[in-house]
Amino acid sequence: MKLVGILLAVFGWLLPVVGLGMTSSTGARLVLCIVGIAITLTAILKLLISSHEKEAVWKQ
Amino acid sequence: MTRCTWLRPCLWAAIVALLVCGIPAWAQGQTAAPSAPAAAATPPPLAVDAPLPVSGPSADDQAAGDPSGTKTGTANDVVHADPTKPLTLVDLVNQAGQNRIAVNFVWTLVAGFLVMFMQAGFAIVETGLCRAKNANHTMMMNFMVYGFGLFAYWVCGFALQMGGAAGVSILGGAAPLSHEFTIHLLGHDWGLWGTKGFFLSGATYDVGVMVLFLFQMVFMDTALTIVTGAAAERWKYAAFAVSSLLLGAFTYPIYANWAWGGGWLSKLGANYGLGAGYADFAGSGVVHAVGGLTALALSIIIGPRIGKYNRDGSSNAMPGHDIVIVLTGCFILAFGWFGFNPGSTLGASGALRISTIAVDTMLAGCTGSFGALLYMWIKYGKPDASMSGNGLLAGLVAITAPSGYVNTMGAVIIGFVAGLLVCVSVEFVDRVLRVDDPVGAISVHGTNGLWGVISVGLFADGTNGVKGLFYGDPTQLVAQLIGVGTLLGFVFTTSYVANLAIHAIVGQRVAAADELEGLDIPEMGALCYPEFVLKPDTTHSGAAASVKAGLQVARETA
Repeated sequence: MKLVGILLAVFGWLLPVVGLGMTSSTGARLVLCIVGIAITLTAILKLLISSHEKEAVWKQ
Repeated sequence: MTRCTWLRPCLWAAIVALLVCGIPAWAQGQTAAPSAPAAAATPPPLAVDAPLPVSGPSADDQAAGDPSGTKTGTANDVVHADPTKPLTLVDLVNQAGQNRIAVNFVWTLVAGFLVMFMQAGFAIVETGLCRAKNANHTMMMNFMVYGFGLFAYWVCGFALQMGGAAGVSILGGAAPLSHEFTIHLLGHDWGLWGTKGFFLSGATYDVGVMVLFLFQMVFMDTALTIVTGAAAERWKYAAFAVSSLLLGAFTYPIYANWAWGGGWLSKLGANYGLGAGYADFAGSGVVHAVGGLTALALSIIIGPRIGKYNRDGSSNAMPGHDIVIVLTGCFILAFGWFGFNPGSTLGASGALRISTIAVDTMLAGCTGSFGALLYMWIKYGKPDASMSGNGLLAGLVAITAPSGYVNTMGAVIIGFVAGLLVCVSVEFVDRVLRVDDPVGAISVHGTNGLWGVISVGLFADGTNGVKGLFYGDPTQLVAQLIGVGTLLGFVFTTSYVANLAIHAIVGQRVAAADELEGLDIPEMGALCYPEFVLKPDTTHSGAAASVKAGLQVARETA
């Protein structure tokens, strides 16, 4: 789960960066940025946090 | 009637005479003006090393004293290339250049000293928001993070960040920082890190480079000290030392290079037509979001304090022990921010916008505390002190990136939004994410650091070369969002992986028994307040069960 979270977070970052070379449309770049940030945030706030929550002190 | 017959010809004669005499005189006056530059265009040749016919007060005059200040700071004080010869034009020009750079050196160094003093502010804010039993440990993390960070930055951090940043003309050029490692990808060069300035050796033993090093170093250290707050009360001191070294040596410098050292983010404008490229004037992203996101990564790995969450997932408040030092620390930080933001011009001569930046800074801090105070007052019925302090800091964090590009109205809005945002974010992190952050560092620096970066893309008014969406340029917002994505995808991930590795090797968290006792004795060997009577933290009814569970774990571990 942690590895998936890390890979997804990196993917969300690279998506708009690579997209710079694929389109020159400002609107398309803006959409790619927002989608990329959403993917990264989901990876961090959902996948990574929930993978650690299983080991949390208060759950034991 | 008789009088009129002779008066009228006389008047006409006078008018004609005036016209005849006046027009040529007026015309001569008109042509005389252009003739002046013509005369000036051919001055006698001036030898730059010829003696100038100026002199200061005599030695006898000066020996008599100068109570009015009119005999001090004269031609006598201009440095002569050859003291045995009279003053020349070369001497004057050199003195003018020297003065400009000297003013900028002094400005940047003093601003750096102010930022360095912010370490004291961070130290007491964080310590005040922690419990008394961990005060020594929290203070010592804030104290030594300065040393760990400085050392790592001197070894390699500065070189990676600024090693290719030559061309800082406002500080004399910093020419020895002359090489950036780049790769060619997607049709453009992507600067990744600098390669000059390791150990500040070789040609980087240079006065301009030293100024740049000092100023950039205290910024880096601010990012490092943010992390100690979020991981306070449970972070193993040895792990803290290693983690801080890694952040100061690699993670922070790499992102700072991309934004400030000539790296790829700063070139998004030139390479892809995205406004002026990623713009982060004083570091909402580079400093605060890097610190805040690293704090998030570490808090996720290290887990919450014992007693923070109940078995059903609800959270317990664990108030700090000294609100006096918390708010005093906030004032110290607000004072230091006048070095942080206006100092980021790296000079005063040729950068008079320092006044606007300073006013933007104070306004955003003000409205940030307003926003937080109003939120807490309306929602909970009381104007909460620690959240008002966090609101002030949130406003200051948010205005850090846009302070060089926005007007006062923009600063007021950015600060107010930050004040609201920090309250919402603290609740979200605490209750929804269940990530324990004793001082609110993730929200103050992480959330509002990202907000500051985005706000450049919205509110920049174009006065200083950066224009945001509200002033007609949506491409700048794209550049800023790519910066946000990089902070989340690169900085957070790198910090997370690095700290996960430390956790696997040496362990990030102290033993449960030590945590319950307080970290002052187990980790530092001395209590911060030896004359205080410290009691177990079972005062909050909801926390009692969790603390008992923690005690059980501690007994089993022992």
